[in-house]
Amino acid sequence: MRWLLFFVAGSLGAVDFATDVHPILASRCLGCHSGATPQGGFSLATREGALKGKSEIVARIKGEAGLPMPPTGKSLDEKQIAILEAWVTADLPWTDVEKKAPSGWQAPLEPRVVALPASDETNPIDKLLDKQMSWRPPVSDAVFARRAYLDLWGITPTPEQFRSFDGNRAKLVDTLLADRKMVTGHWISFWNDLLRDDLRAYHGGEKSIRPWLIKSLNANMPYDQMVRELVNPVGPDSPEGFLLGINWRGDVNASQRPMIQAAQNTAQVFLGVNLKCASCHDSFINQYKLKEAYGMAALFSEERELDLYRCDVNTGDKVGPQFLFPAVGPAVGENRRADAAALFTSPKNGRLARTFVNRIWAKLFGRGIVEPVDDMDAQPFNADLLDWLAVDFARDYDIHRLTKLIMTSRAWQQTAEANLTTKFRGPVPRRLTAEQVVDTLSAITGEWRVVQTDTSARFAREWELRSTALTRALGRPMRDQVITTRNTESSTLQALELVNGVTIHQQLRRGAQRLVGMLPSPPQSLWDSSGLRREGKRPFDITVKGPELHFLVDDIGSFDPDRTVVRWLDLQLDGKPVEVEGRLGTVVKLTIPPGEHKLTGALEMDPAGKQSDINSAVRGYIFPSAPDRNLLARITDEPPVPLRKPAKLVDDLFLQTLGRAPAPVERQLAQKAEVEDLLWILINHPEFQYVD
Amino acid sequence: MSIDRRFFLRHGVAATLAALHGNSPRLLSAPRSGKADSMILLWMAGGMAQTETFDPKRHTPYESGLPSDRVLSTFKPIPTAIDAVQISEGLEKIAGVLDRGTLIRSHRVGDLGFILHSRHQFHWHTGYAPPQSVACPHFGAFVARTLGKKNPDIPAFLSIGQNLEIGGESDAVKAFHTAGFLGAEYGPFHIADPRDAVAVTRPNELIGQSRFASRRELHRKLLESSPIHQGSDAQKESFLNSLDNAHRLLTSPAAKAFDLSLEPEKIYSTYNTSRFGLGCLLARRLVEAGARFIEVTTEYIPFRYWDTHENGHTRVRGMKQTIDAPIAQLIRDLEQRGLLDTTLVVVATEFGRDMMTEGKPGLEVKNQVTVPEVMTDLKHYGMHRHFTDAVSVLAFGGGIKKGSVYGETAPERPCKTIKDPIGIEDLHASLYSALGIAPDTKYEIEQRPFYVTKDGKGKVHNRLFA
Repeated sequence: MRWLLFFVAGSLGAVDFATDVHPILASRCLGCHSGATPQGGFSLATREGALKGKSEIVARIKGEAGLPMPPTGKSLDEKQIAILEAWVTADLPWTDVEKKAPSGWQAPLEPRVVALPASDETNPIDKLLDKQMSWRPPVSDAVFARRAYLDLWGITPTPEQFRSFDGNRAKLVDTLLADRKMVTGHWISFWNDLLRDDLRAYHGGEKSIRPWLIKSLNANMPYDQMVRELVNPVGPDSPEGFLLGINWRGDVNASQRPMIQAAQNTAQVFLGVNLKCASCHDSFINQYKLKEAYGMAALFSEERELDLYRCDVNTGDKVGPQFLFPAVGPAVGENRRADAAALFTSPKNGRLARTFVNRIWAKLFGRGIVEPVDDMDAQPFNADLLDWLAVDFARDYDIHRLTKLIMTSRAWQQTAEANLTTKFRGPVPRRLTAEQVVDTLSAITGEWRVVQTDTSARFAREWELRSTALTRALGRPMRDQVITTRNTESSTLQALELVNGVTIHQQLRRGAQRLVGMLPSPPQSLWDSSGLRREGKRPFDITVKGPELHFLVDDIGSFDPDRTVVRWLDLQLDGKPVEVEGRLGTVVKLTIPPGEHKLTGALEMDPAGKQSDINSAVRGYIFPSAPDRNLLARITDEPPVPLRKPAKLVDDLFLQTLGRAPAPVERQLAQKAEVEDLLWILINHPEFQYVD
Repeated sequence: MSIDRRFFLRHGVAATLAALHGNSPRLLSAPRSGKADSMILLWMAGGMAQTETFDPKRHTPYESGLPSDRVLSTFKPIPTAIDAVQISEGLEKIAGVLDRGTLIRSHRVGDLGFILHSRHQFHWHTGYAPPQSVACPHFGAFVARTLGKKNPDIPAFLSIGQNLEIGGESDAVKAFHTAGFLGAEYGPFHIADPRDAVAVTRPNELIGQSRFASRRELHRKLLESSPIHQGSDAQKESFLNSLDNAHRLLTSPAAKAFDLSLEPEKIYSTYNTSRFGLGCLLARRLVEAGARFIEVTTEYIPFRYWDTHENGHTRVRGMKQTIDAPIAQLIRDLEQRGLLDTTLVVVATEFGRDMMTEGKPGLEVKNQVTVPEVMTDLKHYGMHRHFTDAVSVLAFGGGIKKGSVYGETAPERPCKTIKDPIGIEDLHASLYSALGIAPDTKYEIEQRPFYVTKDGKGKVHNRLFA
């Protein structure tokens, strides 16, 4: 801890920002003067922010000018005013209460065996924390259940799941972990962020590792094995996309070539080291050197020796393969990737396990044992805890075992409190991720997004599809870089999506209708072309009934939908020609006489044969009545979570969103609301948006 | 992530305070070449051919059998409001206001080794060529972050006209329509179609006005009735503040700025050449209301609009019809309202075009378009290849010199820049500077500085300014 000392007139003596000033700000000021949209545009969350209003602070808190601050509640007392005044006089000295100074701290490389201290606690984590904790009572069963479901399945529990929870917390964690598909459905977003896997292409040979990832997570593959396969992908099902990186066609800066990206990403993800600066020149922010970054890059490059570029200029030097921590040894041999895999996962490389347990800790507690999680050279708040966990994890690299160990600890079951100091007290409140918000809303209402292949369609969780304006606003990232911490800030643009966005309101409207059984079941198509790509035609010969038919050709991923040309060809009703315009995305209605008829014809793509460079993809349908644009193809599989019919609507909705029953006054208010509005209110309730 | 402290020291606390509380948000003591406090970027998406628009060369009329390499311009030159300066036929109205600004003919865009529209657009909009190791902010996001909101009810940064779901290049386009590491608060408020602007700033049709209000009221009451002590958790407060801000924006009188139907019919119809034209009108209204940075694009869709791979002459004629009147009217309107001095208006594109040269002259780049040696069809007549050595940029207002031409290109193919070349770093430096933002303004990400111009090295070209 770096102490900034300064004197206050009178008897107070030395005053420290973190222990004296910040608690005042936190309890009386930051509620309004922080975040993305601070009151009056004045933020006290950073020194820069505070500087902007420096000249006014004292006058406001003394009530001498302007609107007195704080505007509500008691005024600050004399001592508090004196502290803040002294702080202003000293030009607002500041310590980042989030950061620990790395002074003199040398992060160990090798694993370090830590003997568990004597303690009445049973969970090793609690034994290690016992001395520094002032334990508070654990959270209630309801809060625990909500946390456990959100952290393992990414969806809040249903009322039945709440009710059937008997208080056996370890058992609940086991039960939830046992449903691999649900666990993967939540955790895959963490992995996609970490390994920057997404459904995208920048024309440069990216390759998704998704099939491998799903398989690995469903199998709870040991972490060291995952790392070996990521670093040394072999075979057609291997995750080679991770090392390929993001590649745009054309020249790229020397520091962004694929092997340098591989060096940056493997160092960041697996070792908690930022090599981005050192990829261009010796780093200014940490101890890593250009040559070390190139040594890592040479593990993954085509040629064994790399020309060393400094700031995009060839230095004339050559660098061969070398692991970032040569002490792990041995030297890299002929098979560089296999050797790299062995080095990353070597028993002597304690960094691998430390980095990973810290990530899982940070996910579950909202803050790492080391912060930031990508700087594992920084000092942990409890080195024994980190080292013990790392050694324990490295016994089998079992991610589920680690997760359970943390979730069954007393530490994790402490009430979540916004942490204003570096002192560890338990979890901090965590904002729900975009996926948790959308999937929970889907689970409540049965209104899911649809993922379709050329021949099938099914309801899917958010992660399976490309992001929407809503989920991007809620922090689902474009994964052009490794993302290890989601942006959880609130912003006006995000709120606009929640308050007025079309995506969420359609889901709410349809969801509310579905929930109360008012959503008309979608008409099933009489004919479905299945996916039609590039060119060619698909004929049909079907029996239809009057009085109307609805024709629709839907785009399912054309490179350029604007240039996709389709037509209904040789349409004949009972042998007589009929015309239907082939317009992509527009339903065309055809009125026919009542009764049964024979309809023949074909859907033809690109009669002019111009598709060579635009890869069109469409799917055509004929419906007996106006189609439901959200549900064109027949849904085959069961939804990710079965739809339940609420018994007591208001109570159930409260339980499933906020994790508690409504108070009588809340129930009374809620019963007056439209279901759709109530859903919106609950989704936008801070008790829903945060995991406490 | 925090703004560099030096920046604040240099700009002075008083100025920043004014920015926070007053109506005069300019960074008063900033070193500046210009005096703009807002900017409109009119983006000619797809690569606007310079020799067909603002840098005409020898005109060769079409005839069957015409050798392709003889053609430099397919339009006749026309006079402009600047003596002895000509631009291309079809841009008469812009020609009439050219004396209000500077025509830059020597912008050399990035040489990225391969022509890819979205990559060049990313480069132009952020100053950095992808891929990058951190998420790069859009120019507008830097402006929004640095200058802050001018009107609390109007987003600082708006982008108008680009549909983000355009098929295969959707992700590439989304990649730079973002505030990147600066965070969502500085990201673009996105309006794909200016005709929908009023709808996106009002409670949407699924809710409706009255229900919107009652829903909010019930939200408030339910929160008050919660038996859970909500505490003074800054995060949750901030979340609720953001909802308040969104509601305020949607019900604010300032939202009138988005309502194009409030414009006099005559003005509206002048702008109403296209979605782009109406975007210009919307941009003007937003500047009046206090927006900081507005991009209006003709929209990028592969092979559409300015992306002329064939039939260039005919298509460029159409594009000129969509941009000529609105751009000229925008300049006149701003001038008439006394806003041209404080509003920087820039017309730019990701690269130029030529009939023969692909990419940078003298470098072998993969040919993307086949050009016949001899034209046999009108569709062969036009600039169908991508050209990076010289691009025309228009800049008006914000202290930019009036009635001036900057830079020069050779009269004969490959019509390279021969005087005052200005690359993206210097162009951005000059534009930022017109807004009072130093080119080495930096923000911290992952403990490293990230500058508004690459490595903070962009140089202001002072001769662009009066």
